[in-house]
Amino acid sequence: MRRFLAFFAVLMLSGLLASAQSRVISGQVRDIPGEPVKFATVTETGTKNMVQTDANGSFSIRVAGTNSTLTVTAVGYDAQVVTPSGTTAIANLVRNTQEMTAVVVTSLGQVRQKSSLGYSTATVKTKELTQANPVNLQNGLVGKVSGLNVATTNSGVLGTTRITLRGIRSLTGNNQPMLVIDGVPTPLGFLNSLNPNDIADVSLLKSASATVVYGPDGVNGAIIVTTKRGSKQKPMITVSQTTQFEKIAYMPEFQDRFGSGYNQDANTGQGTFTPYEQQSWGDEFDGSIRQMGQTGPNGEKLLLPYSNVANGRKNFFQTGITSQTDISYSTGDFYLSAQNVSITGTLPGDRNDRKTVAMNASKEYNRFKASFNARLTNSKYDVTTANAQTYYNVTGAPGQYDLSRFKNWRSDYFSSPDGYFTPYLTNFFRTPYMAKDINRQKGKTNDVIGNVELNYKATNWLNFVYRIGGSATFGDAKSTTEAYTPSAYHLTLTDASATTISAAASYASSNSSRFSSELFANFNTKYKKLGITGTIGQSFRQANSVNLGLGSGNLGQSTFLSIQNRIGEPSVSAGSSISRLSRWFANASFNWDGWANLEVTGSYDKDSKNAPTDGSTFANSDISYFYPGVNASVLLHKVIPALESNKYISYLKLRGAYSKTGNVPLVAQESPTFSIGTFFPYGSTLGYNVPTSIYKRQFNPEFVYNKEVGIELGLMKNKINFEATYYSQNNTDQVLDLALANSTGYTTSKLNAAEFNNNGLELDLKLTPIFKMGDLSIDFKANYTYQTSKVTKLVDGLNQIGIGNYNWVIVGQPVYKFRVFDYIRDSATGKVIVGADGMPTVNPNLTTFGRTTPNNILGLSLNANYKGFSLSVVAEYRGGNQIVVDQLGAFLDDNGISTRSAQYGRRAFVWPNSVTYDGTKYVENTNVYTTQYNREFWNSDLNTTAITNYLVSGAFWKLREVSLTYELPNRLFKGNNVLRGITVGITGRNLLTWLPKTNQWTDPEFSSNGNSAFTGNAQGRSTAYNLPPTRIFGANVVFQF
Amino acid sequence: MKLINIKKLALVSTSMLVLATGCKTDFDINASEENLTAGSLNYRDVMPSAIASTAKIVAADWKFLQNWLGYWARSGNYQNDTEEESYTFTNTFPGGGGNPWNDLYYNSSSYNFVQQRAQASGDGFYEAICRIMKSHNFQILTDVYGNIPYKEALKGNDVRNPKYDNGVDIYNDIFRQLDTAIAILKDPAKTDPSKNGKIATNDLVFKGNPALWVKFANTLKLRMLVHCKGGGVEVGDAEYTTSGVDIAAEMAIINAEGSGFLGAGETAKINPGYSASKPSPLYRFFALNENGVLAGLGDLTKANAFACGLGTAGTPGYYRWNGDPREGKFYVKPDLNPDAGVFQPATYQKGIPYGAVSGFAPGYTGVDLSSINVINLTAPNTGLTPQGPSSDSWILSSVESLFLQAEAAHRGIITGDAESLLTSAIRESFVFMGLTTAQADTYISNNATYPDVDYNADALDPSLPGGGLFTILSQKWFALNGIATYEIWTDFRRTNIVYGAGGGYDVVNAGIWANQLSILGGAAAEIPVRLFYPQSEYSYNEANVSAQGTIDVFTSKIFWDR
Repeated sequence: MRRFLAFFAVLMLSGLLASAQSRVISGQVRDIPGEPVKFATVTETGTKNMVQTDANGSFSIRVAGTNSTLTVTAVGYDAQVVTPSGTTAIANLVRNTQEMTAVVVTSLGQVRQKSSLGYSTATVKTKELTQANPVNLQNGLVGKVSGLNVATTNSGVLGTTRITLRGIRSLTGNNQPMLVIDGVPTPLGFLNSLNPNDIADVSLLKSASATVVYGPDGVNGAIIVTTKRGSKQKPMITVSQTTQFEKIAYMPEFQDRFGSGYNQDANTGQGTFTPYEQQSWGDEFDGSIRQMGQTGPNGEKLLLPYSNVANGRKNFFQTGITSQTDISYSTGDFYLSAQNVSITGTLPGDRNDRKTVAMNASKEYNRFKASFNARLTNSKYDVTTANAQTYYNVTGAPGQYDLSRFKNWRSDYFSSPDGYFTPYLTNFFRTPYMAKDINRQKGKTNDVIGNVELNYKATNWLNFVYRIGGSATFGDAKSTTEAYTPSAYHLTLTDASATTISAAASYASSNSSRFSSELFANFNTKYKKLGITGTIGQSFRQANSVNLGLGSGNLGQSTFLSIQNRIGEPSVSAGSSISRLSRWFANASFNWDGWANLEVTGSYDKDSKNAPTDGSTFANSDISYFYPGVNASVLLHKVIPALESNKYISYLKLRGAYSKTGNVPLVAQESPTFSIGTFFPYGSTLGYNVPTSIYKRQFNPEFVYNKEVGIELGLMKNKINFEATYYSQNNTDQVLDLALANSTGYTTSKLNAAEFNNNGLELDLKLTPIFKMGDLSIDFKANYTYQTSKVTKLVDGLNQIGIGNYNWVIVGQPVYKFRVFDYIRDSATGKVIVGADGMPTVNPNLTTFGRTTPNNILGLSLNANYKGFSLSVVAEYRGGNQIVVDQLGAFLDDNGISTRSAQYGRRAFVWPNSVTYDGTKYVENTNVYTTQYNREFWNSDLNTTAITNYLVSGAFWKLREVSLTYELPNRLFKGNNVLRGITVGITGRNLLTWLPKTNQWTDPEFSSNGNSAFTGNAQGRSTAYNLPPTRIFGANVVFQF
Repeated sequence: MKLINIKKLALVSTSMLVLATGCKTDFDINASEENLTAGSLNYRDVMPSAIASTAKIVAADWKFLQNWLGYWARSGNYQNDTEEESYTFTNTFPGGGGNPWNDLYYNSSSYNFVQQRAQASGDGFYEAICRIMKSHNFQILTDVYGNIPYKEALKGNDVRNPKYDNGVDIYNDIFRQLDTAIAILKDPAKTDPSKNGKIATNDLVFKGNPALWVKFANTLKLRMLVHCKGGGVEVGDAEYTTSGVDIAAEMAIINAEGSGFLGAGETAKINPGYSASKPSPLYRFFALNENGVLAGLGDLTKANAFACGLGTAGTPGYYRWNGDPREGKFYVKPDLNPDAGVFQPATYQKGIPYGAVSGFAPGYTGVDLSSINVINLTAPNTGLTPQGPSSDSWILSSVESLFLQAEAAHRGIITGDAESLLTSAIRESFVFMGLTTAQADTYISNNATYPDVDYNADALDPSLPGGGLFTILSQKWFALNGIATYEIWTDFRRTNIVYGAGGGYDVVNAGIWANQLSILGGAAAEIPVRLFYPQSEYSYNEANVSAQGTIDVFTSKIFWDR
């Protein structure tokens, strides 16, 4: 508080000193189509008195003379002189170049001319972002920018995404970029609470060179979000409604020939029918009516045709509906918006409701400007906690059932856990409908973000900015399990193994907050041909969090699911964290004659997370690091005479950047922790377990040395824009959890243990327009990313380290590569060796396979406009990686449900691409048939432990977005004082997916790390926790008043 | 104008400086306020959890041995555990519920931590207990795995690749560790409770009684000395002494010390406050867990046909063969009697042959079979869990101590009357199982002349062993069912016999393993003599474990195994 008051006092004082003999002219700068031009410079002609337009193109300037004219300049537009009429002035600028010369919002919320930057950036405008009405900002970015990889790692109402820019820089730490909203660094999780319709534009700063002033927070690049501000035009109210439907796009491939059964006929080797079997090793479907399951207590029998039901499993899921209602009000100084999103999932019963209100306001007084914005988001969700088991039970069901038959499990005997067709499902999850219904989590999250910015323009060449921002998240969730007791009759059934389930309830409450302040001075001056701009400042950030949990797994048979009903002691937990980061930063940019630019940056960080966690003393220098950076660019078309007059090349820029940053790989207070022993304390007897991991006292940050060079080219009066960037990052001091042999007393040791580099190429091509005839114009954009990496060093002279989920770090190889079990192969041909019995052997040693993340990403987008119609299409390709679907794949094979398990009709087959030993050498196998071919093979370790059976190409093409909108002609609203415009549209997302034929299972983007965190570094392995992939389509209408 | 600007600038600049440096912020905040670290806890409070963990390992980590040794078997309505049942396991075995290697090393790491802290602060009692318990763990590890990391083990980052020590060297060092512990325990200054804070409660086993800890240490020594004597059970089989352990010298140290061994009623056991919501380990893993839900292993585990018979009149199990009342304490008859037409009186216990696959025969699933006692929830609490979830959990039983003494006396390791020590052991076993010494005496007298009960019985057939050592080891098999299965395994390995009933079941020729499989028409197979080193050693300590050569679980014997 002390800081704030002091600064405020100074500002008040300086305000008093300002001259009062002048008038204020306000107005707006637009381009010829009428879109506001932000960050244009408005100068009182012939003076150095100048201001910049805001995000809505609005400005106000205090001029001295009564007849002053204003000169309006903006990058990418021809300069214009306007004469104010009274106290207002409107400028309509003519565009002279295209986007590549536009301005971009960079770190600290500062606006820079793109042409002067030595590093790579990209901007996505609101229209492009929201054209397919995504619920989240990150979904709106997919496929639109090179270097960006947004992977939707699960479907479901809480859909999780993992975002990386330029691959990874940390083997085990955070690789996701930072989020900056209106200049305020904000936790990345807030992406999910932002209303995409409130966003004016998004800049992506792709490397640490662009974010040096953010120090460790910016090491993975940054997503810079600028929200909409009030416009100085007539007040405008926008109301829109979007309804979208989400359907299961596809399920894993199932066999449709064999129904339930477990045993094989000893004579024929073919499966025999078992009415109550969960697995599908039965005889072939023949359409006969058979009794399924076991007879009920009153002699009831479930009689069904023994034939495959198409979509019998898919029918378990429903069409999810997302309804979004938006309203916004925009006027002189402020912008208000409210949004209500309600999502019902494809998993029946799952829902998520989100409400957001936001306000942006600003006020100018002389040289002083203050702005304020605040945003509150409330999410309420109700989801099952038995995703995996539910999906298992659905996908595992034999083909003769339409699962929707078993919906009413509480009332219908054959749908109930007592009478379900199989007694073999795990106790808590005896039917899929029961599993999802008795295991629930309901929760609420409230996200609040606010910031205040004070801007003081001390002189024409110097201004000060003080910004204080805060964000807070309050979450609570209650998870419950309903009790169940099997009926006495159930226990008399064959193989009944159900037992009593106790009811359970647990509660989790967490809140976290982050406050940050930044104070900096911008200077901008010119000495002859040398322009100097720069920033010097200081920032501070503090993050706190507290989380509390309590629960009981034993509420007995109570139906009132409250911890008040517990039997025995509750489980309790408490955690908290705090961290502080203080930073001094400066940058200076030297511009020579408008064509050469050199910028140096530096940041001096002091991070509490670098301090030892055992309370031991440390020096200031132990936790402080200096991070330098330099970047430069030249505009060759301005200096090379041959280019100046060239009629094809209108723009040519070369750029380069170098920086060093550090990523602090530990979370605050991370240290080896003693856990409380099982059931301790017993009364007053305490009991702790020693940690299983051991840490160094203190770590080095993971240093990232970023180098990049780029070229930007404009052809044909910039109708064709091309941009290419090559980058190379060396990442040292990687912190790894090195697995230890248990005989050391520990299982892991955290160490600075590895070094790797990553590099890549990013290409962006824009043809605007690619085609134009009359009112029809078509734009085309393409972006391509190639990224690779190489591990250069590991600790202890190790050659490889596994980080889980089959992801391995191997010296000399890209990070990460799969290492999995394969069959023993003939080294000469690479073919599987089969024995005299026709069967292969699993190699007990792991074999290295391909990359776990894509190295080729191609995004294509097409935009067509004809009168009021606008069509846009975005498609994306990713490839070069492999995925492992072992959990789902092996599960389906074990159960005899998969296409694989029936591909040879459950008869003997010649192992494809195999060789046999003829006594002297390996020869092509054409006639040695497998001696195991039914359940004894497909449901055996020989099949399912060879993970290569589930290792396939991770490539895909996806039609990410299709939208068609129509803006009703303006003339319809002429003379209408209320309604000013209507736009209608239809949209679709992920409508089509093309997968390689070998991928029979699921979306290659899906991933799991452990059970719930889908965003970790070990990618490429999906599990049954991932719901089936979905496609989304819908319609929307927008009214403007 | 210029002047004003400079003033303004000065003001703004000054204020900026004030703002930037105004708050002297503390950056020494990285020590956790909630998480317990070595710096924020009382190291003494680690010991109770460590002891409780040892009790859990003793009670719950040995399901595979219970199965192999003929006590328990897999219920027929579960898919077979191929690795465990065909002995074709890999170095990830045993997975699931507990892995002796991982559990014992981790548990020893806790004792190591407390021992080092206690030593540094002069808390002798804590140091001594931890030395004994760590020795206990390494003794079991050595018996299961042979050569293992010992001197370089438990050193964390300091030795990330610990070298392996020879099993015999580990045994010899354990004797010295126990000597050190005993010396501390016998020094009243070092065990002074006022110095060893909370010792009366944190010593869950003997509540701060140093004399009993000395006996525990001596019993542990005796266990190791007996391990080093093998053979001598079968006809013509010579006794042998493992070289490298000086049994006489070690015995002289024990005798010179003079405290003796754990006697009747001196079981090293704990009960920190077990209850239904904090069940004792055996109950938790094989009966109901803390949520009142049947534990995962419970449902899976049923009586073995070897111990309990097939439920028909002609095939009683070996407890019933001698009319052993302990059968009803270790097992509970089937819940239901759906097979009245097929089987003889439903009052018989009914086991399932270990290894029987699904479809072996009707009536060999779930509720048709005898449960292991802890599981049967409808029966009154008896046997190993007489108080149900609140029952004590033991680490080293007085029953085993008496059997060790009986064998030691028989083999001349200690002086004493082997037969009377054996009788004490049988009586103690009956008492341990909730029966009386009178019932034990009746049992013994009823089975006079049977060499598996009567120490003085002659062999029933010249090719079969008579009483004596055979009786001691047979009775040990009956007594330590579920109590110290790893010891029964060790007895099998060093004598090649676990139990020979009146009919004479010899492991090598027609042993229980062959018997188990022959019921199924399978091939005879012996059980393994050791486990593989775990995968984590091959992955993370590769050079050292590889130096142990290729391990064959049927032929790579532990050093005391001939």
